Amino acid sequence: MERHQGKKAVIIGGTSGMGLATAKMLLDGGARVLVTGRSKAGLESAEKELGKGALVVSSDARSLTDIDALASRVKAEFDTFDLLFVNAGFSIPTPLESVTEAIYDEMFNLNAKGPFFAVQKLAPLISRGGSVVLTTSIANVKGLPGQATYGAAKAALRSFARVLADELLPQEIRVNAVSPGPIDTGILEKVFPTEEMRTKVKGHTVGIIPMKRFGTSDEIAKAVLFLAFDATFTTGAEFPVDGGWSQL
Amino acid sequence: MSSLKNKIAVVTGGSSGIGVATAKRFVEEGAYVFIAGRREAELDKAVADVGRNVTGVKTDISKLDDLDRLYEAVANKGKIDVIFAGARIRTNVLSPGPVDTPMFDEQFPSKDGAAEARQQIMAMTPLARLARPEEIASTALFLASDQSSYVAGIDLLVDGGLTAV
Repeated sequence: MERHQGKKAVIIGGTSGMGLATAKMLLDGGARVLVTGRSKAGLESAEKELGKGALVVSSDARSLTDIDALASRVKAEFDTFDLLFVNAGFSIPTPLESVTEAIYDEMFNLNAKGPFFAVQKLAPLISRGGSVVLTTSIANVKGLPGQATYGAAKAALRSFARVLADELLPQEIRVNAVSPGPIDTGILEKVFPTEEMRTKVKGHTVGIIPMKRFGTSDEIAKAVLFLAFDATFTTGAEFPVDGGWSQL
Repeated sequence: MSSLKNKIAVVTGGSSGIGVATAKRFVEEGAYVFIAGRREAELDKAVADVGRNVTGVKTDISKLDDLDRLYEAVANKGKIDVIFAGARIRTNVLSPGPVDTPMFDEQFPSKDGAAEARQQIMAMTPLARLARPEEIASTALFLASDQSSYVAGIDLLVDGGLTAV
């Protein structure tokens, strides 16, 4: 497959799950890829999985200093590039009475503030005809218990997609969002510490998804690449890939 | 490319514009396509245009008898995998904005009127142009194929940013 030959992509939050799957698909299609991640273990395993074709860069998606450094690195490696996939995100499920200021700030820093400044700093390097894809969430349109701050931060991100789509029109850059439902990325293992909790959450989730299953990271990656390279008349839109959950 | 290999697809309103572009793209991707259309001459032209792996069925989709005949024609070939403009199993909707099809100009009484409308629409569309029918077709293909296997019930905008921006 030479589908993505000559393309260059930057994936923020690309060392596991949906970001990693997208990086793999791009590499298979002949693209050059730079992925970022935060944890040492994640960076090392991504280097192994992606091989020599990919650049794996340590960068904290919440840190403006790191985002500045990332922009310099991308400029040095790629000069310009075609796809910015801002995928880093994380939820700390917490009921209303337990949400602390620290949790609130963490959710907004990682899921809204970091992605916003990533687009601000990296957009000048995106080629004309290029694309930004933001990962939002089913949580920005559903009242999911324990997800108040996460859902609100993702809703902010969805709103950024609309406004930035407008502001980046002169550069001919399209901005869209992909909105995953429950995806089997391995993130549940991080969020829920015990097997018993995970089984309960998975069973409950499968029960309420119209398609009666979790999605896969590959299914998100396909939607991201569709928005990035094929959806040439679509901008400011959000594309739910959620087994029908948000609509049915 | 063969993302619809051995699939059977029905494209209603397939004689021109978006429909014929979608039928072409589906055939390129390995599908056998039934095109349903009301106007015989247009339908024959579309079938000739697609060239292979295609059957035209003269159908007025507002008439139930015609729909029965369409069903018979398709049932002889096998089971339907994709209906473009209809519904089955995973159902999704795509919402085009302004598209550069013959129908666009036909809406207006004069050439000048059509040209003026084009200018107005381009001015209010964030991407500052009309869509090409092929851009609708590639979105239909994405929604019709396994590429979108975890997508159901959505409304995907192909509108140059008109709705969101």
